Amino acid sequence: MNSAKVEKEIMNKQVVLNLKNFQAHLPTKRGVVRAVNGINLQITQGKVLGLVGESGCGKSITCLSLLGLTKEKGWVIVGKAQMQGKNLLALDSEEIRRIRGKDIAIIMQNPMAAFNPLTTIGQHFLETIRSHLSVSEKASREMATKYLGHVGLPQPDKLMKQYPFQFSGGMLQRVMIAIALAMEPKVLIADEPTTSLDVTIQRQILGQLARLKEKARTGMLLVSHDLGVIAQMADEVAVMYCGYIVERAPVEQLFNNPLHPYTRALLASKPQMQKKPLQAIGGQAPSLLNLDVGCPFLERCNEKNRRCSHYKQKLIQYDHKHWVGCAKYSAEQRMLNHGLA
Amino acid sequence: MERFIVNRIISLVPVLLGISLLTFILIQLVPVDPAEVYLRLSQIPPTDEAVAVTRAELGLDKPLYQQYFDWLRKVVQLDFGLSFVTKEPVMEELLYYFPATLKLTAASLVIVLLISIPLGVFSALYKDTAFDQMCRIFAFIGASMPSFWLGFVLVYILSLKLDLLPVYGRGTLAHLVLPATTLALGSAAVYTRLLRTSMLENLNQNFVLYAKARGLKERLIVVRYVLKNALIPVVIAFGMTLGHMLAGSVIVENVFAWPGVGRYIVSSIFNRDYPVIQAYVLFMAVNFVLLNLIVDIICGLLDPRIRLGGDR
Repeated sequence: MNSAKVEKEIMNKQVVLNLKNFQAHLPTKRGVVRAVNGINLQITQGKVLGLVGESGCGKSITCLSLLGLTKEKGWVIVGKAQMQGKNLLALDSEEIRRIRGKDIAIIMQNPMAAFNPLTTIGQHFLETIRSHLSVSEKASREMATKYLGHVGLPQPDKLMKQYPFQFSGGMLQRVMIAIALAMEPKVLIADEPTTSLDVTIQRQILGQLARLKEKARTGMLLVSHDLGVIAQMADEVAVMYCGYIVERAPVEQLFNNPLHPYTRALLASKPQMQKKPLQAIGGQAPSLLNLDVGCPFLERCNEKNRRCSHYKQKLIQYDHKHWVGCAKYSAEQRMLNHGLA
Repeated sequence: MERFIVNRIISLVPVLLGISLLTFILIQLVPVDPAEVYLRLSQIPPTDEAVAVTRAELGLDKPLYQQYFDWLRKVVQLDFGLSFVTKEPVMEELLYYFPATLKLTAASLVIVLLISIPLGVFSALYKDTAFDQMCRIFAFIGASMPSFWLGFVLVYILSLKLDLLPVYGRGTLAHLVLPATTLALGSAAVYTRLLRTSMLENLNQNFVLYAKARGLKERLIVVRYVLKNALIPVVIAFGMTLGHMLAGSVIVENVFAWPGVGRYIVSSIFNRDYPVIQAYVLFMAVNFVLLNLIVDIICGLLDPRIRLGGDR
C-alpha cells in the first residue's frame, strides 16, 4: 500500500487521531526506559480501538504522554500525534491545555482517587466546563445536571452539592463519563475504566460507553488488560507488548485467529467455561530499560526460531486488516515455508 | 457546620474539668508547704504557730476535695487569688502581661505565614531548582539557629550597625519587628519545609492528574487542588506552635526586654508563687484546648470529610 492510498483511507474513515511512529522514552541514571517504541495507531470516528497488554507494557504512558501528562519530568516524546492537521506533540502548554478535556477527554482508572476530596462534584464539573467554554454560571450548571442525568445518576441537582467521599466508585466513574460527555470530545481515552469496579457496575459503565460511541460518534481508545472488556467493546484491537504493537486486527479476527505467539498466550490465559487449567505465560516481560535487539517476546515464546534473535520489531501485513509483528510471518519465512512445502 | 462546632465545644467541658483537677493536684504534689512559702515571701519567720494560722487563712487545713471545689468555684469566676509576692490579684497581673505576648505572637504568626507559604509553595513547584536549594539552605539555617543568638545578631546588625530599628521596648510597630522576627524565623523555616513536602505529596495525587487531563488551568490546580489539600497537615501542626508562642518565649522576651508572660512565669517559678503558677498552667491548658478547637474548625472548613463526619 503506498502512502497516498493510506492517506486516502484515513480521510475516508474519518480518522480523528493518528499516531505515527509514536515513541516515549525516559532517560534515567540506570539507562533509557523505552516505554513506547514507535507505534502507529489510528482512532476512527464512532469506533472503539482496544489496546491490550499486560501491566507495564506502555499502555498508560501512551495515553498520558499523548497529552503531555506524564508525571516525571524528562520524558522524551517523539513522533507525531495528529488531530485535525495539528501535531499534538508540537503544541505549547496552553494549546495542549485547551485540547485536554475538550477535544480529547480521559476517563481514568481508580475513580475514587481521581477527585479532589475537598470540592464538590458540581465544582469539578463546573470548573471543567468553564476551563473550555465561556458560558454563564447558570448555563454551565444546567449543562452539568443534564449530563449527570444522561449517565443515569438520580437527582443530579442534589449530587452536584455532594463531595466525592459520599459517592461509590461506580458513581464517580459515571461522573467522569458525564464530564467527558459534556465537552463533546472527538476522542475519548478510557484507561482501564472498569478495573477497580465490581462486575455489575462494570456492565453498566461499559453500556454507557457503548451508547456514547453510538450517539456522539466519538472515537474511543479503550485501554484494558481485560480481554472480556475488549471483546465486548472494541471494533479493532491492538496488542501491546514491551512498548511495541505486536498485533493489530479487527476484533473477531483477533480472537478467532490470533497470529502472534504473545496474543495466543494472552488468549489462552483468559478464563474459559470449559474447566481447562488456565495457561499462564511463563517468565517475565523484559525490563523496558535497555531493550535488546531482537524480538522482545523471545525469552517467553514457545514458537521461536533462529531468526527471532535478530528480528527487528515491525508490523507485517498478514491480510487486508490484520497486521502482526513476528518473524514467523516475514516474507522470507513465508517463502521458506512455501519452498519446503 | 454549626452542629460540628457545637459538638466540639460541648466535648470541651469534660476536658477542661480534667485539666483543672490535674492542675490542682500537681500543686499538691510539690513537697514544699505553700503556707511556709507564703510566710517566707512575706518576710515572716515560719514558726509552727504562724504556719498554722496561714494554713487556716489559705484554706489549706480543709480536706482536699473541699479545697478543690473552693478553688474551682473561684476559678470559674476568674478569681485565682492573690500573688504571694505582690499581693495583687493574679488575674490582673496575667491580664497585664498577656497582651504583650499576644501581640508578639500575632506579629510572629503574620511573619511565619508571609515567609513559609510562598517559599513552601514555590519550592515545591520549582523542585530541585536553584530557588528550591536556597529555600532549603534558609530552612536549615533558620531551624538550627538558637533564638538568643539570632536575636543578638539581628539587634547587632539592624539596630546597632544600621540603626533601623529600636533595640528594645514596646509601643510602636518598629519595636515589634525584631522580637517577632526572632520568634518567627525558626517556625517559618520548619513550616516552609513542611508545606513543601505536603505540596509535593499532593502534586503526585491522581486527582491532580485528572484535573490536568480535564484541561484546568495550572494556577487553579495549584491553588484549589494542591495547596488546599497541602494546608491541612500544616494547619494542624501550626495550632501547636501557636500554643507554644502564646505560652510566652522566655528567651526572646528576655533578649528584647519584652514584658510578656514568659518572663513573668519564670520569676514566679523562682519565687514559688503558687497561685500564679496554678493560674498560668490552667490558663495555658485552656489556651491549647481553644487553639485546638480553632484548628479543628479550620480543618472542618477545609475538609468536608471532617465537617460532614464521613467515615471514609
